[in-house]
Amino acid sequence: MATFDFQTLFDQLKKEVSSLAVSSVQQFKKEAELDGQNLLESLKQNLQNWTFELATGEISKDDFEFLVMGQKELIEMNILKQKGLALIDLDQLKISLINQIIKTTLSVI
Amino acid sequence: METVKLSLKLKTIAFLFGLVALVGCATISNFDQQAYIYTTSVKVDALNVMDLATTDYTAHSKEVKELQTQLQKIYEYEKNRPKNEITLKQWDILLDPEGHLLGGFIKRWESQKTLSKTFVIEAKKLVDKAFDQIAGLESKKIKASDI
Repeated sequence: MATFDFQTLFDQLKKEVSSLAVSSVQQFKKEAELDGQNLLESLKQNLQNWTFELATGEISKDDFEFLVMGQKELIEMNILKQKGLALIDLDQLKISLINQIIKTTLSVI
Repeated sequence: METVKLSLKLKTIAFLFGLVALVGCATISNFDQQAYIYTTSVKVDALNVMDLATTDYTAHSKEVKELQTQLQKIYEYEKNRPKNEITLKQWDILLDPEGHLLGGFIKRWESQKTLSKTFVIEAKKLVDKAFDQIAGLESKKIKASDI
């Protein structure tokens, strides 16, 4: 049976944990940026449409204000979604870490 | 010597269990199939009811009431899920009668009796995406089978 060495185990875990954390954060950042860009694109499109519809009398000034406020609230909901996704990523990272720690530790004892 | 090794192994296993207990607590609710189905289903109903807003509110108050009851049931379901504060805040924004998404739309329809077709089309696009924010978050939550 191999000698159990805590220092070696922790050095190995340190490397694995760091690598897992970095890849998880990078993936989240990429997805959040893409989601944010899509939302900004739809905001731009909506504002163009509403301005045109206001100018042509298809919607009233009150309608326009209501829609702009609605867009603002939609952005708030998206921010909440991003916050939730970050927590999900954190939980996923924790699960991966636990699995990795168990696997690595059991392999050296 | 063997006894020492066994003791060390047991300590290590105890350490692993401790570690799992320490970091294993979830920070956000897990995926709930029922909640996802409720959300996507009521979205369809909500958008269909919004379509009626070009005609007099009083002629459709029954449909609106049915939709509101459905939404209240879903809200109660979401409220009682542990660690579900973020999703609940999303519902709060969507349903707020003083806001400018579904809750505000219904209040505006009731007070103005009818709404213009273009306004209804544009408001529906926002409400559609608002429901997607809730369903989108739910669908990404960790499934119990993945833990």
